[in-house]
Amino acid sequence: MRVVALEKGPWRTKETFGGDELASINRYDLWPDPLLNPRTHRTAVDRPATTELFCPVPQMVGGGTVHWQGWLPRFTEDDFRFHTVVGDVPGASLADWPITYAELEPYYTAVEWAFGVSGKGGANRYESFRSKGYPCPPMPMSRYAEKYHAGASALGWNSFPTPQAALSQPFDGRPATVISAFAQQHGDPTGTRSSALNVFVPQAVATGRYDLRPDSYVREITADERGRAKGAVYEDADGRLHEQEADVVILACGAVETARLMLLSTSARHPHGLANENDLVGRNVTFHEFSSAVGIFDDPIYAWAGGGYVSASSFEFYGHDDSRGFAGGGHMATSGVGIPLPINWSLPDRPTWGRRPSASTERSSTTRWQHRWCCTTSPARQPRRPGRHRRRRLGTARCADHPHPSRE
Amino acid sequence: MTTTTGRDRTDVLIIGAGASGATAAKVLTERGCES
Repeated sequence: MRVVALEKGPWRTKETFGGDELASINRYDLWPDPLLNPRTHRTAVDRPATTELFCPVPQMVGGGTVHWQGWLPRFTEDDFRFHTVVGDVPGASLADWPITYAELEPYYTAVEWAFGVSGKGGANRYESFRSKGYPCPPMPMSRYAEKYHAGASALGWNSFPTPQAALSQPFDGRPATVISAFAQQHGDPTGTRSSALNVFVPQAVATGRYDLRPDSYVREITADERGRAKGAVYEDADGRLHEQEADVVILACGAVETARLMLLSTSARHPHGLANENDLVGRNVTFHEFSSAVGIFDDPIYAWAGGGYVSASSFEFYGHDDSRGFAGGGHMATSGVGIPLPINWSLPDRPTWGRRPSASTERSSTTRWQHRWCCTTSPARQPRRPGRHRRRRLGTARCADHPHPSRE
Repeated sequence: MTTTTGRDRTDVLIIGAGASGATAAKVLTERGCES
């Protein structure tokens, strides 16, 4: 079997990554530059659009796993039957998934063992059944994770080491992951973090059957006379157009870009975009969203250690509870206060120039932690047909929030 | 821009090499698939 992959971004090596905060966070070294790959966003359908860095994920070989820290808790059985659990919610398009947790469980296990996930099976009291434990024990505990476990225990809450796509010990021929203060939102200069770039791509290349073409910008998915996808037209790094045909075409561009490409791929059989006869392509998109609170401690917790994200979690309020008055719950976890420069400088009353910011940042990253609340349900956003892509004159994704009335 | 400079055919074409695209590539290149 021969597999061709077209990736719009570059294929970067570990030598090109590092701990440059301004480059990674402020200067789009990893994230798409809104001037070159714009997306527009509206906080409601009738609000004005702004061009912004909406849903920042690296667009390159490895995708979001290039900048992730790799939290990998599983969904639970109820997540797959959410409509059954919650019931009808007026004003929302809630539905059960067409697959069950039991059907997906072997694939969760396969990915955990392919990546060498570090965790502790059974430590999460609210986790659904698993057929196999984690391949590696939990990552070394950070000081803020110790604090979190102690606090949760005092409240009678279950807590557990956050499963992490990183190696706490050598595994499958790979060395243990180097724990760096510059992990999440930065590329990995050591090449030891578990990611698609570091693990799956090299494994596919090693078969000799994977033809990965970076800097290949797909403009359109082509369809045959029956309306079935037959290939793609793409632009290479030199601006030349090519057509690649295939027996099977797989779209794996993420929620926004996949929908955008389908809407751009019109034909006689698909006048409103590929497979969009029901006008559902690009609608009802949900993202994981989180809110956070920052705590300041008298004793040092060294929040920079562990990349900010070697963490502790709790599913104590993950499941749905009618008495709370809203649908669903969330995953609570802790992390360091974040990357010093861009994030700490944005906090209220922080000095931004001279020697004072340096001292303030050191003090802050030593004594603060961040409590995060990650929700699995969120208001729907819909990428829609666009304005124009500034370089290639292609449509950009127009994203609009549809906040549920209960949120207003 | 209307000129197509090359045409090629393959068994499987994956658009994207991020988390899902690379996972699909790993599985398909290592195990193949039933058509």
